[in-house]
Amino acid sequence: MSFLTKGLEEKYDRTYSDREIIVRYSKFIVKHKKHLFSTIFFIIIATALTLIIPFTLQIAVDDLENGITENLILLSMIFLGLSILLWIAEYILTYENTKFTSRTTQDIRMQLFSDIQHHDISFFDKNKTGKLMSRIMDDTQALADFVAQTSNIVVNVLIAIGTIVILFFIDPYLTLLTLTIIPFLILLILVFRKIARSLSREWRSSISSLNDSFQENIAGIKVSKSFGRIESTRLEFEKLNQENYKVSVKRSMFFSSIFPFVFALSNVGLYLVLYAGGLSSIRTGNPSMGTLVLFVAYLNRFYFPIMLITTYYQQLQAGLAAAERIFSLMDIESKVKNTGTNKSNIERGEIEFKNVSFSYDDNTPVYRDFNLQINPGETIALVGHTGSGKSTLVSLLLRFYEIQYGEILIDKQDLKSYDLHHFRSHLGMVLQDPLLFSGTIEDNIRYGNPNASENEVEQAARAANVWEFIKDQTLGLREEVRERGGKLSQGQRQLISIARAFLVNPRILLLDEATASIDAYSEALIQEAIDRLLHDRTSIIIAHRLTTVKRADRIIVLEKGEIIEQGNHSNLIVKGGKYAELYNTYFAFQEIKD
Amino acid sequence: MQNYLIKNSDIMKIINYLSKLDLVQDSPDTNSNSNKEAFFWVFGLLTQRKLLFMGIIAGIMIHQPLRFIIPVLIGKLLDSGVEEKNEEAVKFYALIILITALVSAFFDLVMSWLNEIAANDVELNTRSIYFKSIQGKSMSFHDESKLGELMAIAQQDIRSLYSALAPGIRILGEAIVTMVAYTVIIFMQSWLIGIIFLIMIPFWFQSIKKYNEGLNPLAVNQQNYFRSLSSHVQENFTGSAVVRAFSQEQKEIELFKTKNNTYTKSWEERGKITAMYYPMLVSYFIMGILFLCSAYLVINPNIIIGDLEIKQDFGLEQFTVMIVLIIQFRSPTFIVRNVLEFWSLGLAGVKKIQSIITEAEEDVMGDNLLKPDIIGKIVFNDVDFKYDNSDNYVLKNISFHANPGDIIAIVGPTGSGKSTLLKLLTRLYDPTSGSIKVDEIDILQISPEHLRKSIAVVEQDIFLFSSTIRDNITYAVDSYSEDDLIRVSELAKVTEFVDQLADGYDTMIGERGVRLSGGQRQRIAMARALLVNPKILLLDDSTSAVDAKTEDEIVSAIHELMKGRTSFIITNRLNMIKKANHVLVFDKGKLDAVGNHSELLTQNKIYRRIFDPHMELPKQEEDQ
Repeated sequence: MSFLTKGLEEKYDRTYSDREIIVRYSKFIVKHKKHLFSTIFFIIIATALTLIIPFTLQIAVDDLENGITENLILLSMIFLGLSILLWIAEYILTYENTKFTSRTTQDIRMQLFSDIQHHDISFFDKNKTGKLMSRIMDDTQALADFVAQTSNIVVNVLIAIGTIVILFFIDPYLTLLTLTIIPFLILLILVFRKIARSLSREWRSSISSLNDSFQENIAGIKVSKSFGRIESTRLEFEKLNQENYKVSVKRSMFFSSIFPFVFALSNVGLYLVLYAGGLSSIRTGNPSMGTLVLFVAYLNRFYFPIMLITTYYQQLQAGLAAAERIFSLMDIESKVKNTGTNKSNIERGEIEFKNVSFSYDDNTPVYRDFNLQINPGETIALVGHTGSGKSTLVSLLLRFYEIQYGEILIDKQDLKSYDLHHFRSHLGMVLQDPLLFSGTIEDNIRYGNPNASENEVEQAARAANVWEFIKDQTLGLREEVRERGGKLSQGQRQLISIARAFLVNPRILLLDEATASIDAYSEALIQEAIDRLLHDRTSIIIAHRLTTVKRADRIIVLEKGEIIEQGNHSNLIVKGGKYAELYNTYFAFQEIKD
Repeated sequence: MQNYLIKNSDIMKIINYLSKLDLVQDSPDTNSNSNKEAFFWVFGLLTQRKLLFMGIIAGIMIHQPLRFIIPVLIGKLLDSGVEEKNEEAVKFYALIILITALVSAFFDLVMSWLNEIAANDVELNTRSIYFKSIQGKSMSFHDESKLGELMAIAQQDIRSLYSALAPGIRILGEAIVTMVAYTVIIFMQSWLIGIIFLIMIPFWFQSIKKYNEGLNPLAVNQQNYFRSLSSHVQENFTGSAVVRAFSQEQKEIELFKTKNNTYTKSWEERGKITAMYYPMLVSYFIMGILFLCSAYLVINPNIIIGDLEIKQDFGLEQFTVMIVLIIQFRSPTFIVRNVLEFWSLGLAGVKKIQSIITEAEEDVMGDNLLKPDIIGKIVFNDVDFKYDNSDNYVLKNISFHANPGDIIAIVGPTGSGKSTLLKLLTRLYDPTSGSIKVDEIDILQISPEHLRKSIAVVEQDIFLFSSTIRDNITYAVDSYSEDDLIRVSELAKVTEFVDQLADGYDTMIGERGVRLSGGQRQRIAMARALLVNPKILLLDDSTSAVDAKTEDEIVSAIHELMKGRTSFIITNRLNMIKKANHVLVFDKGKLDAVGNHSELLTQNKIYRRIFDPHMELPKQEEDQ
């Protein structure tokens, strides 16, 4: 019954015209048009068969009424034969339709995913994972459902029209009589949908707050238990459960009412046909008895298609809206364009920011006319408060975002002139929250360099101080890490992400130090691994650790996108400026003074 | 033909519903025993409302046979009305047909309502039972289960139980009545055809069963591939920065392509089996054979088999009724498939719910548990602890004591058992052996609810409810005054940021409101604990480093919090440790040393390793 209420609950504001969407969609159809055409072909066959089969019954009844019996056996054979043909036609039609929709959906998904892969990080800032997921998984599915639904509607509409035409030829008077029910049916459904809409909304909101409460209370079970609040929580939940019950009963009682009503209405139609048809048959001999049987058999064939059509407009809107969401996502252009062709290797690792201006949203600039020169092999520690632009600097170097003015020079060449992928392959990155992918430990270490040898992987793991841990695993390198590395501790994930960077062997290393304090032993392992990693590379570190800052060749103190101080630790402490202040309030806590 | 419409629409309902929720989650359980149990469970819930249940059955028994009388009446109308040229008979039967239909529709309506009410009842009760049961589970249960899975049961499985009942009961009842009515009506026309029909029915059932068995694994496959595709996409988006930094876009696309293809293939495989719905073919044969038999009988009403002459009264009227029945046989075939699918989904859901409910609940029952006034003296005596499903001891031979008002600092590397110690005190877990005494009473004898009300906990990863700040601070108390709220907020330094919010304490936290920093969350949790005014305080402070100003505020809030209570604090903050009466040093589940800061620094190796990281690890520059 949900077809009756589909597409009821949302309002669709669209920016693409229907025509644009259909043209876009048809581009995806072209490759699979074979399946579309055979679907259409078999729709016609199945419709024809569906329309013809009842005639065998009508002829049988008419024959019998006139005392002719010799054709009856043959008619029953024809009936069986045609039914089998119908089954085959329906089989092919459904299967071809599945092929058509599934393959079209497959292509749309593929296109969408690969389009998204070419976007820069600003795209992901604007489009949250949840939203993208629902585009690529749900909207494509909704579109597929809609297309499948449409073919179902086409079948039904064809059958309805065919039936009306046939009946009209047999007995126009009875046909018109039958059709008088239809306006009432449409009215009934429209009224029904109007009420259903508001009941559905009410239910949706009540069930969602019930689910929220469930989720919340189970997620916070430790708190509930710790504070002895189990009973009061349960009562609150029970209250919501009861409220939802009331709404839900109301809604489902209403929803289940529609069919008894439609049934009653359709039987008024039956009554008219039998009454008027029967009397006319007695008086004029027309319609024949067989025709009456045929009418009875056909009668309900109208109602279902009419109900479908009445609701189709909303579904169409919902389907087009899903398509529009998909296409509009495809149409977003990436700001960072890979137009560079320079594939020369980065030998030295010299970095220069020249009059760089950048803002995320074109309004509040993060950097304005920013200049910084970093020498090959130098270790830079970036310090500053949240929002001072430390992470942005690193992101810009990775070309996650495009700068608005100025240039960034790598080994004296403009960053934009390099081939993007080639350039990034010379960069190493270790993130604050090291994201691992599901798969094995080895997959994750190899992530940036899939072709590395077994030996190289081991070396990288050793250098990252994680080899001991890996050896202790039952499956060693082939141990699964689960989604986002969930099976490993924070420290282990960090070490593996360092190994990952080792295997890339980058000229330039970007490191965002973790703020969360891990236990001292793991911390020491990480520090040691990082030390090795920094060796002989140009490194930029977003620093949170005192030891890191002390060891850097140069500390750069950022505030609101400007360099306010730079130098090494001792010089800056002596200077007694912003860094010294920062040191005294923040870093000093990490130093144990007895 | 009458119920063609109804059936078709039910089918649409079912198909739409299934396609929307991707409900087929489990392969059909071959364990018929657990199937039976699940069935009885549902049945038990249903029969709790006996009247409702009887009403539904009665409704089906009335409205459905009435529908089957209609074809018989049509036959009568045609035969004794049109054929006999009797206008009065036509008028009479037409009216009777209309009345029958309306009465049937009325009972259908009432029955549907009762069915919906019954199903909603079951949903309501199941959800309550389920929620209560989860609440009552021990913490080990919660540690092991994933919230997402528990939620999926609460949403999808309870919902599929609902659909198994409404329209499940209705359709199932109607299907049964339909088959019975069919048989009866056919027998009324000719007992010979009736017998033939009865012989064919088992083939029909068998074909439906076989079809279902073939389809289920494919549905499970399709769903698994969908999940796998979906989780790849999710990971890729979450890790978008890593993918780009390591230039792995192309590889990701390839991987997606493989998974996408596999999924599409499984979709098509399932589509193929769905399309090839051979029970329909079987029913076409049944229809054909019924037609053939009727045709044969109407030509030869007297059949001679050997010496036996069988006389049948089979004329135009009977033939017409048979024809109308034949047309109708299509729809039960459609419905039955979905009934089976509905029930198998519903039962699978019930089994999942059952498996959760039947798991043991926390062992907190007993009326003779004590509810003493707690002062705060705590003694651990040789306590061992391991989790139920593991052989490794998390804590071993732990003995120490704390006097009322003492501050106990707990230090040690991650995984050394520090947090577990605190969980034993609140009885989230009970010791495997040894005893814990609070004010000289074994805590196993104290009511956990009562004990927990005397203890306040500030967790390491603070959990706040997505509600207002006020609700969160006052979470643990039944009533409070505005003054209390402000007093604890000031002590916990919450006022400083709350005052800057437009809605003050009534500001929503989380997605629908403000996002709080780690330090702010911690302070709200402290205010929450302060308002309880507990005798014992458990504080896990091994949280992330925050900026200096926040650090100051947290430290001073903690000091306020500890005043006049027995406090256990897990911390790395030196100035906190220095204040402690005792420092417990944990290592690998054992209590390595007890003492104060200066003692430990000189005497204990592990303690030194924690507070002087550079002593034993690779040499680094010691000074600036």
